[in-house]
Amino acid sequence: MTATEQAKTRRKPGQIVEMVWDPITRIIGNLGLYTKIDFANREVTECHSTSSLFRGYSVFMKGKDPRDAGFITSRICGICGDNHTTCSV
Amino acid sequence: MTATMPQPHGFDEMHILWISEGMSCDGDTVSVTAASQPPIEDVVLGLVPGLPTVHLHNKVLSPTLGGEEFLAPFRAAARNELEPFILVIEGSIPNENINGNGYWTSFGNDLETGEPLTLNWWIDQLAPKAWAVVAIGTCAAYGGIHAMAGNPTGCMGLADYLGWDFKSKGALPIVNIPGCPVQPDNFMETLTWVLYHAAGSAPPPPLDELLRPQWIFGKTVHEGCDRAGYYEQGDFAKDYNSPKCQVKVGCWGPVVNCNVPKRGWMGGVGGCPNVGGICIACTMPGFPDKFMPFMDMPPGGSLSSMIVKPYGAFIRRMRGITNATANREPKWRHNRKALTSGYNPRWRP
Repeated sequence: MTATEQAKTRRKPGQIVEMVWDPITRIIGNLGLYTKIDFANREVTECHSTSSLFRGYSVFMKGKDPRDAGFITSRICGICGDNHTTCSV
Repeated sequence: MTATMPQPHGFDEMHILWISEGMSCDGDTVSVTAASQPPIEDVVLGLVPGLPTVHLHNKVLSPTLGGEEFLAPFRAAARNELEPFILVIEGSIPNENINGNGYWTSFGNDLETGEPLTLNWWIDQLAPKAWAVVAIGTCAAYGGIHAMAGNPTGCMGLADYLGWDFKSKGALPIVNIPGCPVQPDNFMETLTWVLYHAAGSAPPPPLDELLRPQWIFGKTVHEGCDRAGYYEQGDFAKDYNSPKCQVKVGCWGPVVNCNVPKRGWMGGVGGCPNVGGICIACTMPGFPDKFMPFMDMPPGGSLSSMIVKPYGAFIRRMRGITNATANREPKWRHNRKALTSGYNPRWRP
């Protein structure tokens, strides 16, 4: 399909709109998205994501009793704590 | 309803600014969605009579687009343009004094410089302006899991950050509702009390010296546990597949202030030790360090179980005998031709 496609219609002059969602709502945890979108050409020219939270699970779990790993890692996330427990066991 | 009935002095509208950007898993927000006494939906939709109109601003439960639209009420409150509001903090407060130019957690950016605004900045701005300050979950109340030994963020509870004698604009101390996560109805009950107080129809909620609601955290897990009878009879589980008391396999129930076994988890069903989970003392200020390793028998457990076992073995034998007797019907219940029930038509006392 792509090899025989005609060259697309000439690119329109772009209008870059900067859109930022930080924090993102309706999720658990922190996420921010910083984008530059060219609506005229229907293209996202730049997109950066950031998570503005560091808690240090991999740091403070060192040296603790391994049987506690399941209890502690379930607190990584309030929705999917169960899969962290399963993976840590 | 007479015309002379005094009107309560209070607010008709209250905003709840809920920041879950502490060292948090947002599990308390998730847990609160399971409440039924009252459900969060009823509070927000105005179905609970006597409460002020509540506007909830919570990142997980927000209908907004996110970003600046979601942050608008928070920024307005920081500029003194939104009141009255209750500030709810979820997650522990990191120590931002130890990390140079970095930051541990942020909530939106400064509009002029584009730099992240730390949670600590938000608390410094909003706590003095809040009518009430509520710490939901053990992390916000006392530091919780992320404050365990060896942690890099130096995080702490809200009372450790603001001071234990902090008083909000409404003359309330910080209201701590611990739990990891908080039991859904524990939080909704306390929030509803605070809202009734805001409406002027209730006194301030009674808190103990650790700022927990007294009626919720006044009793221990053991005092509310379905399996406490097994403890009294010296009948202990030796593994995790038994319906008996779990003190010997790691349950801290006898020394933990929590009502979860008494009221269940959701709609009265469940409750950690009731269904076979050992109590890890997740509501306590000493959580988790003072209770780890969780699966080891608590230090007092060996002594108390040793003391109760001989009494328990004897009393179970005695109760077995009485139980066998009580399980036999009296001898006069039969289908023979004679009446042997001791009936006497001329009986006098």
